[in-house]
Amino acid sequence: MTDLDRSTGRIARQTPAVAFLHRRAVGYALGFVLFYAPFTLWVTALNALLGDHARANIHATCLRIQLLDLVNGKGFSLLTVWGASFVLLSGSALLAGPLFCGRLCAAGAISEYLSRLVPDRFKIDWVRWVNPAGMRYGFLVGYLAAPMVGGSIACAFCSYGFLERITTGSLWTATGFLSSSAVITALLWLGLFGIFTKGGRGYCAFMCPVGAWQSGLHALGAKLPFTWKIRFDATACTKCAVCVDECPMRALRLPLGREGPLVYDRHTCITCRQCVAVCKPGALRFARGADGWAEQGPDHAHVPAGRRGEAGA
Amino acid sequence: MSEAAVSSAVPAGRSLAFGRRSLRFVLFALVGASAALGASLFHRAASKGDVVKIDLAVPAWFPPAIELDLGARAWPRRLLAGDVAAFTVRLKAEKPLAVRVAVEGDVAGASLTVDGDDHAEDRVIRLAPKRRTNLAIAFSVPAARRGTAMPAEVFLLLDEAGTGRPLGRIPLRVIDTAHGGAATAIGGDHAGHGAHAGH
Repeated sequence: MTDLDRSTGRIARQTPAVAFLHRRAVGYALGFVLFYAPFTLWVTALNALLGDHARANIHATCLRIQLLDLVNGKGFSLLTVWGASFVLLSGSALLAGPLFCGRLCAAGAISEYLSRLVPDRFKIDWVRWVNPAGMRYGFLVGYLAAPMVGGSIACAFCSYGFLERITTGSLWTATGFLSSSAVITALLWLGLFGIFTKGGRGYCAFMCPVGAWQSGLHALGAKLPFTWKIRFDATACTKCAVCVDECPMRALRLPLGREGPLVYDRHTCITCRQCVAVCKPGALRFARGADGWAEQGPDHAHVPAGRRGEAGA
Repeated sequence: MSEAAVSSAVPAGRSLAFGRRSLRFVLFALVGASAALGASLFHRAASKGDVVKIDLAVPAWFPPAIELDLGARAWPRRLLAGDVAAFTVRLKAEKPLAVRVAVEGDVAGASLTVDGDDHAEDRVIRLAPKRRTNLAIAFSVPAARRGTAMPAEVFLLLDEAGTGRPLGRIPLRVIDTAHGGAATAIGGDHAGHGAHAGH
C-alpha cells in the first residue's frame, strides 16, 4: 500500500493507518516486557524503588484487586507495587486518558491485532446494537459488587492473567487458569469479542474493569483545560469516515448519510490515537485545551441505534 | 407553524433524545452489571468442581483428605484439560515458619505455584502470622487411571526448611463420581479448614 504524504510530497510505503499500527505495536511490546512474566521490568523497578517484595508477575500490578480493596474497605498502601501502580494508572488516565489501554496493554492489543487479520464480513459491529459505555460501567459496578453478593470474579475472567499463562507456558498446569471461567474468558477475549468483533476490542469495551475505571477518570479529567484529550475541529472535518473505520473501540461514528457531525464517545475511547494518525485534514488532535466536541451542539452525541458507524462501514 | 411553536419543539425533541440516550445507557448498564454478577456466581459454582480450595493451618498434624470430583466439573473445564486435577491450599501459620513443600505420588509433571509464581517447585515458603500464602498444586491424572472411581491420590508434603521436621502430609484425592467414585472425606468446603470463595 502506498500513499502520498502531502507534507513532504513523497510517496509513503505504508498508509498512515498501517504505519501507526506498527508504531503502536512497539508500545504494546514495551507494555509486555514491563508488566508480564518472565520480564516484569515494572515490578522489578518498583520493588527496588519502594523496597517492596512483590512477586514478579502480572498479579503484582493487578489493578482490579486495588479497585476491590478500595470498595470493600481493605485499605490501600501507596508505597507498594500495587498501590503505586494504581495511583500512576489513575493519575495518567485523569490527565491524558486511558493511555495504558491505548498504548501499553498487550492483552487488548493481541485481540485487536488478531482481529485485523480477519475480513470485516466475519465480524460483529456490536455498537450497532449495544451501548458500550453503559455496558462497561455496568460491568465495573457488577464486578465491584460481586463479592458482596457471594460471587467471585477478580481473576476468573482476567485476560491479563490468561495471556501471562500462555507466554510462560504454564497454561495447562496452572490451577486457577484452567477453570471453566478461564476457558470462557479465552473464548470471549480472543474469539467472540476479539477476532470476530469489529475493532477487536470487545473484551476491552465490555468486560475490562480497568478500562472502565480509566475511561470514567478520563471523562472527568477531559473537562479540565490543562488535560490531554482527543480534540476535534469541526470546520476541518470532511466526514471521510476513515477515523470511524480505524477506531478499534468503535468510539467514533457518523450518522446515516453523513448528515450530522462526527460523534465521539469519550467513555469508550482508549486514546490510542489511531484516529488522529489517519485524519488527513487534521480535524482530530491529541492535545490540551477545549476538546471541540461540544461546539457541535447539544445533539452531537445522539446517533440512532442501528446507524452507528454506517458511514464508515 | 409559528416561530414560537418551532422554538418550543426543538427543546422537546432534544429532551426526548436525551431521555432515550439515558434510558439506553441505564438499560445496558443493567445488562453489564447483571453479566458481571452472573459471571461471578457462575465462577463460584463452577470452580468447586474445577479447583478445590481450602485453608490449612501449619503444622497440619491430622489433616483429612482433600477431594476433587472430576465428575462434578462444568462443561468448559471438561472440554479443556478435564483430566488436570488442581488444588489451591491457603497456608497459614501462627508463628513465622519456613516450609518446604513437595508432592509425593504417582503423577508426572505435578506443578506447584506459590502466590502465582509458577517456578516454585521445591521452594521454601516463608509463612508469617496474619498472612496467607496460596499454594496451588496441579497434575494430570495418569492415563491408565482415567475413567475409574479414584483416578489419583497424591500427598502434599510439608517439612520445616533447615531441620527437615515434618509439618504435615496431606492427602489430595481425585475421585470421579461419574464412574462410581464416592466422597470419603469432605472436600474444599468442610468445617475446620474454612473454605473460601476463591480470588
